[in-house]
Amino acid sequence: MTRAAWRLAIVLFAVACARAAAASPDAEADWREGVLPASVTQGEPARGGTLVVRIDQEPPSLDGITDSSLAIVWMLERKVVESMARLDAKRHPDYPLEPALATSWEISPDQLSFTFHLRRGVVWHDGAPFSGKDVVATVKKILDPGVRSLHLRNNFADLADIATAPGDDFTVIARYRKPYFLAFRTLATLPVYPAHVLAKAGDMLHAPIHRAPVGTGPFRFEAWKSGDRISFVRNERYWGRKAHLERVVYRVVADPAVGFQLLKQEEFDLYLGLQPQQWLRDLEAAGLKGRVRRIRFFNPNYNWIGWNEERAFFADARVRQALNHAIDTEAVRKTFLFGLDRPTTCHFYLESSACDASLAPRSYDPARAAKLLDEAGWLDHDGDGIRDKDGVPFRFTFLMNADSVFLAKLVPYLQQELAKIGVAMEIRKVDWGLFTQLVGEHRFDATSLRWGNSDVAQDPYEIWHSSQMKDGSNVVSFKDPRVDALIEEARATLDDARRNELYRKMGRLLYDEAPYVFLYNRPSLDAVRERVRGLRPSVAWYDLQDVWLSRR
Amino acid sequence: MKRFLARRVLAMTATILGVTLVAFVVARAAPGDPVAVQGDLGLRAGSASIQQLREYRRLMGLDEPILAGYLRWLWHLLRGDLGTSFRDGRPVLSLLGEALPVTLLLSIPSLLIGYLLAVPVGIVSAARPGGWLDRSLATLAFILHSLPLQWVALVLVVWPGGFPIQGLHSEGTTSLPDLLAHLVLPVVCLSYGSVAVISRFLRSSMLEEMRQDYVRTARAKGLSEAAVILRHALPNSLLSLITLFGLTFPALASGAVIVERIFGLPGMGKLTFEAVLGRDVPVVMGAVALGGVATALGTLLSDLLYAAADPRISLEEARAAR
Repeated sequence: MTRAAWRLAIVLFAVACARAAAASPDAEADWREGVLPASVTQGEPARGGTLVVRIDQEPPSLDGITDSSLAIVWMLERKVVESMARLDAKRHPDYPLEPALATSWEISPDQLSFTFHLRRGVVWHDGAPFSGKDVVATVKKILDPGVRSLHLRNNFADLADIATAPGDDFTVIARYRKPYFLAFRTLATLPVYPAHVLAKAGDMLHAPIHRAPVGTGPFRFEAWKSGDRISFVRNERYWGRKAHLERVVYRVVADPAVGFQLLKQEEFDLYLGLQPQQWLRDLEAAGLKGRVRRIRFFNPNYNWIGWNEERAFFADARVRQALNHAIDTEAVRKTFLFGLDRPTTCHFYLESSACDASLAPRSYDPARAAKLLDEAGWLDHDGDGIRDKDGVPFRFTFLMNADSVFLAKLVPYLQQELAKIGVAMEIRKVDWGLFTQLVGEHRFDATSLRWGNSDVAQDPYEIWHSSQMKDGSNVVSFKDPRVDALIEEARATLDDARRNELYRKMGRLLYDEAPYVFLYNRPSLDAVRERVRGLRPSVAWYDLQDVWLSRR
Repeated sequence: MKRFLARRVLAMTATILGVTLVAFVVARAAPGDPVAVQGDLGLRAGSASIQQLREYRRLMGLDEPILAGYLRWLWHLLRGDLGTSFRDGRPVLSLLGEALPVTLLLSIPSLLIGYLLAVPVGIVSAARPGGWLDRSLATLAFILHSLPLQWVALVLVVWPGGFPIQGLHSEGTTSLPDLLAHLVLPVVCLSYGSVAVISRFLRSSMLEEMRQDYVRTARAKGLSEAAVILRHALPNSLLSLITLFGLTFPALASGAVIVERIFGLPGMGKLTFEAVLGRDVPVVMGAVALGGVATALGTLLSDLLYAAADPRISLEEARAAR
């Protein structure tokens, strides 16, 4: 992007902001929608203070190399550990990259070779100097077969070679075997760890860095008291603008009722993960309106109900469409989810241009559902109230994770609705450990889950390509050569607009084939104390570096 | 005495071996995959796959036969090594070392308070069975006993009466009064039920004793009712409390899942519960081994207490009879 284009983008963004501010002139609308007013990011930042954040459970570790938990990404990336480039959090919903540990980069015309020019004078939290050797060591650690890092290793399957330039430790050159649209972004946003620590870290699991990260970010790790709190302090030697806050403390409070009570006692500045009812009603009922602001932000994720196409019932697209028509998704959203989630029919981030906005959720239409089932040959031949075909009754089991509050409401409703159109559904509840195993091994008839991602850019290959039925995440065994071809073409298409067009095409095919009932995009429901300023939700979570506490 | 102890230790070892073997087999054979439960692994778009899970299984040693796994676990145990957690790679011993003190901090005061309150209540109830005091205490005991723990805990959270509702310490302090204040609500939750049970238990065993001939003799020789109850009936009925103590002893170390979760106390209950859900075999085994030891110790301790409390019971019974 040229400098002029950057400027234009900034101006456009400012215009967009002004318009957004004009559209919600009063605090009432902000409160209702869960939007932070523009004034939150304005004013002169004050230095100092501790930001206390409520989390509902601890991350398994603070090591993004061996654990894929989203909580680790949120807590560490951009704050404690940094990457060569980072998502520009101010530019929703496309999130282009902006420089971080790299000051600039070049991509070769064949898109196979990336050159990063790294920032000089950066030091690690332990005082050692940063260089390109750290980037190379991080990638090498991920490629080490003895390290539990497969969630990242897949991204580097086509990496031919990565090294610092001869005689220049501040230039990193990576070469790939074939062009892949995500290759650059994945490498550029990979959190970098210090080579001298990695060298002694073995499999990471048993090294101090597994729980005490060392990075270059504006905050450095302070302490982790298991089951209680994790804290970070300001990095006084940070290369960029130093953080305003002195400390950030994440307090683990598992129980929602206790958490809410503590919120009332003003124990937290930022409260993550309110329950829908708490967000919608309890905050106001407890008199917190005015003392806290509500935040409702949509990350890239969606819930779905999937039909295992290895089962004879679900092999026919008409049957899958029929089952979709049998569910009143809008009523479910309004009653079970308090209307806070957004309906979606798209695999991608709802606001991105990879989605075709014209695809509306299928309407609730039991008559149409019955007709589609008739057409597919599922009729009640023996008059027992349950449809059958070739002597096989339409009777299947819905596998659900026993912990899910939402599914505990949705699934019995689904059972009732399906009974009305002559389909018998049984329910099997299992715990998460067993659930993941059964779903992974395709040992279910129908189930429901949520996919999530920490970036808006993503490759649908693992979920929708037919080659991913065996070892990937195509758990419903969806197989369509047209979709396969589009996904493959998109992988090698580096132009964003062209690729998004391919994805919209794929989206229309998925819509017609109805392998999933696409349900909702779930928001994160948070609350923040009035005194907290500079907070900006994004798909990269919050940038605590910009946050300050107002002293009024 | 030495012989007795040697015999008991031998039996204890056999019990613990049996318990841990069963636990290991169940933990390993249980459906669900410890690997798949690592965070959201395996089921998050763009992150993992079945092939990865297989590789992780190998890295964790989950592909070896169950019996071989158990023998390896036992061999490491003999050398004082309980292995490392699947979840975060930390030594199980240090996880137990962090959780056990928290649990003891809760369970010992709860047990003491339970007995300290229950014994007078039991005595008073037994003194005039059927009297208004006995009947009202009985009603109270049944109410307490039937209050669901989760509900009581949440009521206390909403009306905490000025006591802290989360953790063991306030931000920035580690003073004793602060710690004690943090313990109040969880200890109330953990002891109200046992007060009810223990007091009823003591009442009935006291009534049993009151019907004995020696009590009638004591009364006949003109002792005051208080002396009859406190000096004669009570010591004898305490034997039944020793039995109860032996049974509840293991609970000292096993933790309380609900109370720990609500009040944010990282004790044994939370550790074990999460390890079971996460199929974290080394941690589950560590907790089971600890529970086994506590159970065996509880039995041993109550045997010793019997002998101390009742001269008729001798630990050398086999030889004494000869």
